[in-house]
Amino acid sequence: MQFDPFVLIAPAGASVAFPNYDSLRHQVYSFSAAGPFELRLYGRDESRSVSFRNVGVIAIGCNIHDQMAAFIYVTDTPFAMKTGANGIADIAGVPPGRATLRVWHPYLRAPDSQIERPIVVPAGAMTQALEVGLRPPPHRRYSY
Amino acid sequence: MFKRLRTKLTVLYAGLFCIVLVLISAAAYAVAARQAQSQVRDQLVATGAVFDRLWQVRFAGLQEGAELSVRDYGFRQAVATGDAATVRSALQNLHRRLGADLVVLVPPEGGAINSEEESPLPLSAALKTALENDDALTGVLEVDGVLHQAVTAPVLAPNLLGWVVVGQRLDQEEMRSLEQLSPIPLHAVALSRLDGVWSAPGERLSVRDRGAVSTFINRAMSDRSARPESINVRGGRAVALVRPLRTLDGSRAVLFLSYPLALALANYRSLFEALIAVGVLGLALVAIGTWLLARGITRPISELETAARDLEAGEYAPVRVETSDEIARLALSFNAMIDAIKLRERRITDLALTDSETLLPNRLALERRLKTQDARDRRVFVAAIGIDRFEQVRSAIGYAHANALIARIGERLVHLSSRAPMGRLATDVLGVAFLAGDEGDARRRIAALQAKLEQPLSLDGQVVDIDVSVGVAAVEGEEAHVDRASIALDQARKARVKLAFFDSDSYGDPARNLSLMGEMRRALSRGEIRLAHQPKLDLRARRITGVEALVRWTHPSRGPLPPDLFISMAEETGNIRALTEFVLHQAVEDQSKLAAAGWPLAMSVNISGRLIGDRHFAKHAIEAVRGARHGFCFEITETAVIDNPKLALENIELFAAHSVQISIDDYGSGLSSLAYLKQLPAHELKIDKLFIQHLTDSKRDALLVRSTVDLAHGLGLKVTAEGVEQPACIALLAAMGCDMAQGYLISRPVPVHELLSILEDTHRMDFLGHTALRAGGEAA
Ligand SMILES: [Cu+2]
Repeated sequence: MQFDPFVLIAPAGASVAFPNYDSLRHQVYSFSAAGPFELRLYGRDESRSVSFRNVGVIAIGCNIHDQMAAFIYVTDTPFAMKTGANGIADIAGVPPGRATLRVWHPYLRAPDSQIERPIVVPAGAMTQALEVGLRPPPHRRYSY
Repeated sequence: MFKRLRTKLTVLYAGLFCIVLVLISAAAYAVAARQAQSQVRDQLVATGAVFDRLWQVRFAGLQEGAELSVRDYGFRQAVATGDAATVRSALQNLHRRLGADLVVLVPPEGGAINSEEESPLPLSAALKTALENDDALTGVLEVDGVLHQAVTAPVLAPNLLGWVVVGQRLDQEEMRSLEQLSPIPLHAVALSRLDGVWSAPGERLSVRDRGAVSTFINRAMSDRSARPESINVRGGRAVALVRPLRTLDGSRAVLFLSYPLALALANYRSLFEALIAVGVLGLALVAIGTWLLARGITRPISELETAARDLEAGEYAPVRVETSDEIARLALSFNAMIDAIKLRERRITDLALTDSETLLPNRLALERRLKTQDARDRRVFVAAIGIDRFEQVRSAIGYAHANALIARIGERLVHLSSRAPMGRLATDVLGVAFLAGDEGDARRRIAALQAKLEQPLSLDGQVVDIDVSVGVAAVEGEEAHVDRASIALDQARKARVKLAFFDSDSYGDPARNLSLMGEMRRALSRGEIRLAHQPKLDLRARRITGVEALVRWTHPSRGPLPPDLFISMAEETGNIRALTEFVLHQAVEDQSKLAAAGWPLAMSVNISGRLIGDRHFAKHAIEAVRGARHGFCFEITETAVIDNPKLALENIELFAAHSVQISIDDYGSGLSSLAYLKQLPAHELKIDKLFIQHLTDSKRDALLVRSTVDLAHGLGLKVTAEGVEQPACIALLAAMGCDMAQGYLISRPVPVHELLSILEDTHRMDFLGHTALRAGGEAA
């Protein structure tokens, strides 16, 4: 049992649905300051939705199943992308000029698990390489 | 070191026993200590293993509680709020629920939120680093100087909200409960390293012990030793085991298990107590046994020693013999020796008190009995009974018979008074002690005794007449009574009486006179002894032609000493030679002095009978008179020649050969043997004054003198008359043809300077005037 996807990017104000396809019930919650919520137990083929108005990271868990964890990155920029398993994200259509590059990962070794970097976006394509360190996921003893 | 064999043996054996005992005890202790140590090591290892398991169980419990807690939805919600008060209340809740000593939340950004206090706990940065690498840690954590057994658990929602650290204090109480689990009462303490020193809060280790423990732990850690080792701490030797404890923050902590060896050895205490008891008992037995044995040996030896001392002191006490061992045999031999010595001594005493020739008691026996004589109201007298003419009797009847004779006389004495002390005093003298009321009584008793003793004796059918003279001395004080009785006997014989009592006046003081001899040399050198010359008158020439040199001694304290006394003493003591040599030298000197004054006189010197046989003296005398200017004459009594005629005659001939005239002195007083008169190469004969003194009164003496003068003249000798005191005598002598006269009429002996004045006194010889005619007439 696990949330899928593990990380979701959502624009601010968007409503995120948490459909339950398992044959058992879940109680989804988040204590994150940007959008705490709690969905009472709901069963199979039921879905609950939560809208996140504030920008921030919403850490989502299930009160029944400790190993279930997911993160919703609520942002107000349209230029947000999730990297692939290879760690590469190709963001298109960013207007040239000054910009702030933010890299976030739930286990990133950085304050708030996020790195900020001011960049100047050129007219053409650019490649920005960032090396990051990751913490081991918590509760290693339990398989996620 | 020890004067007594008993002590020596006892100390020796007890000492040996002690040494053996100490060795045994040491060996036993060593074995026991080894055993105890090895036991303790095993126990420590076992306990260490138990502790490990227990440790894990406790961790598991803590972990379970912590994990359950951090999954609690409410708790996570509270933590997620980020509100410190809320978080703290949540932690307090957890604290109560888990009953843990330590409940802390460590936020991801660092710091710590305590369940109890607002002030953040001084958690080390290392802990957070460790948590970031592994969020479910177990281990020891030091908080505020207190070690805790702690676990961590992450608070996930599901992102990491922080870590909860839950711990139990590892305080002494906790450790005691751990110790309870061990089968041996060991001491457990958890120690952490702080500033290089291993310490535990509340654990009161002394500075020295802390150092020792630290060193011990450091070594064990570096060796990764899991074996118990021994360590010296204040309480004594201990065996200790160090088990490293995993810590939460990577710092060092250990579990230190120790067990004092003394406690381990306590199990063996009964063994040691038994050893000591056996040792003390054994020592006492050995000491008593040795002492008794040694006493058994030494007591007879001591008794022997005492007996030997007694024997030395003259006491014959036999030793008691109780056993039958070597010492007893020694004692028996000793007793036998005592008996033998006693017997021998008695025999020696008997011999010493017996006259061997007659088997009568001897002088010593008599003297001994005199000492114990009890006189009561009467006086004790000692009589020395001398057998007269014993030498003649002995030569008549033979030696053996003479002894038998003495024995028989002794028997008579015993018969007369069986209990009277008696003894043989000399060859012909028997002594007997008797009691008498006074001297008269004693005289009567002795007379009666004499009468009985003088009865003729029959010896082997031969009748022997016996005459006895008796000297008696009264026993008074401690004087030598027997000696005095003997002297009294001599006095009786001299006086030709049958009985004499000791006369001390006539005896004089021999001891005092004897001391004179010691003074003689001094007297010679100091001039106390001088010569006096008596002139000799030549009756034909009517003048003094010679002198007789006489010796005089004026003693500084006793005055003039009688010449007879010191000359006879000198003869008896061997001083006569020195005296005579002095006289010779002095005479030579005086002669030359007189000659220098115009008086060339012949010098006569008396030569003692003791010296006449002395060859060395003879040579010396010749040498002395060799330088004499005028005639020298040696006057010799004829009795002097009798003792050793051969040597005497040789010397006299030697004198004559060296122009020394020889004069026969005191002729007529002795034996006046014609045989000697014939042999002696004499020049002069001096008629003894005994014949001259009564010459004018006694026809008999006159006849003797006249015939002697004729006899001497017939033999070619000149005649000198001695002791001339009256002028009539001179005349008679001149008429008889006597050549020389000497006597007080002419002059007493005088010193040389006085002699000179006499010689020069022309009237001195006036008395010759009356007699000259008669003498001349007679001679004509
Ligand atoms: Cu669930």
